[in-house]
Amino acid sequence: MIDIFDSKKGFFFYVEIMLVVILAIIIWTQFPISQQSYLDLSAQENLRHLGYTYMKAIDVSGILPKYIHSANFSATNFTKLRFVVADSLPSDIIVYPEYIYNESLCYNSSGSAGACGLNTTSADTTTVLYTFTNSTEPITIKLYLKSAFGGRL
Amino acid sequence: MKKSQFFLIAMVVILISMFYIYTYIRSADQSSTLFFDRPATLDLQNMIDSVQLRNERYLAQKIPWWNYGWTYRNVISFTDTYDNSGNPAEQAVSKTAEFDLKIIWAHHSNTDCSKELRLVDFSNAEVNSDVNSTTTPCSLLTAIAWTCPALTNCNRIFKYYVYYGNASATTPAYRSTAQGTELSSSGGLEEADPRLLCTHFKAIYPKTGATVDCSLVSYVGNKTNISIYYSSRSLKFNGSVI
Repeated sequence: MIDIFDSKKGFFFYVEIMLVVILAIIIWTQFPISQQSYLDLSAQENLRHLGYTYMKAIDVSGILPKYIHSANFSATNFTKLRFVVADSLPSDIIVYPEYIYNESLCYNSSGSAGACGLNTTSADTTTVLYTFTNSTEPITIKLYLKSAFGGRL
Repeated sequence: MKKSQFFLIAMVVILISMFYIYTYIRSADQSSTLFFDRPATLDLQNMIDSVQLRNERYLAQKIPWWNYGWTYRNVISFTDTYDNSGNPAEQAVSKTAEFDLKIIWAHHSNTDCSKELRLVDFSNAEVNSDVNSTTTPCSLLTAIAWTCPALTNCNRIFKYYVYYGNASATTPAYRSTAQGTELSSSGGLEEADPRLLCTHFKAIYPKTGATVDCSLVSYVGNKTNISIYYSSRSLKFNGSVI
């Protein structure tokens, strides 16, 4: 019987096999196992429901229209609205609103107009859309929500 | 290393691999579907709520829309004053009033003012009106007639709706370019019906990975019936909302 270490070909064969196995293990361990991803997704769904329910509540109760100009959206008081939202939600939730005017124009929470999408979001940030209709043109508020104790995914 | 040892190690590695593959497949089968696809229920709920809320606000406007071909309307109010003190022969006032519109020109669908603008009174009857210019900003002119009831300074408030936002409107037969007595006006924009939401939804929701279609079905009284089609990997909806 020839041992695999006895030949150069056999040695490299063994090393290659081990490298492939190590590589496969590294890749597989990075996949979210179902139980954990389910819990993370449930937490994110709760955040989304919380954000949506809150936005609808301040809309129908007349709080939101105080900060969003009915006819001139660029005159909306973005900064104050951000603080109202952040102060109302639990303190362990990090929230950034973005205001979608159309498919290419968005305003960030400071009121700066630009392309849509925040660059500072992390992987466990979730989003929810709420469309505000009490204005000439409909405005969709996109809330970026993140739990301060999150960090998975 | 013996061949049997290598075989044993290989079997253990394969078993470990199978375990991880199993957990990954379970992820792909259940939660990973949601992991890679945005949960759609709130997006659909948002569209339905938006249409219903907009309908409620639209209904709150007491006078119904004169013509749904026009997207926007403003209430326009202006005051005509008359110094009638000591001159009974001039109690009857008749003039052409020219007033600025207070409308949002960005919502103007046609570059020609004479085509698009309409003046309607509060009984929903169209009133003949002219424009001072065919290009924006332009003002509307209309004939007003009233009687000062006493030998004193008096005034009368006139209220109309100005309709705009109709790209296919054509110039009415009565319209010409004219000049009149300039009067300052005030007024505000009223809610347009939920058709505007369709344009908005179709612009933003495809970016979430969903296929969205939205269109006007009908007007039921003063309510707007909107058809919504929503399709994502996890949710499909096709129905109308009023």
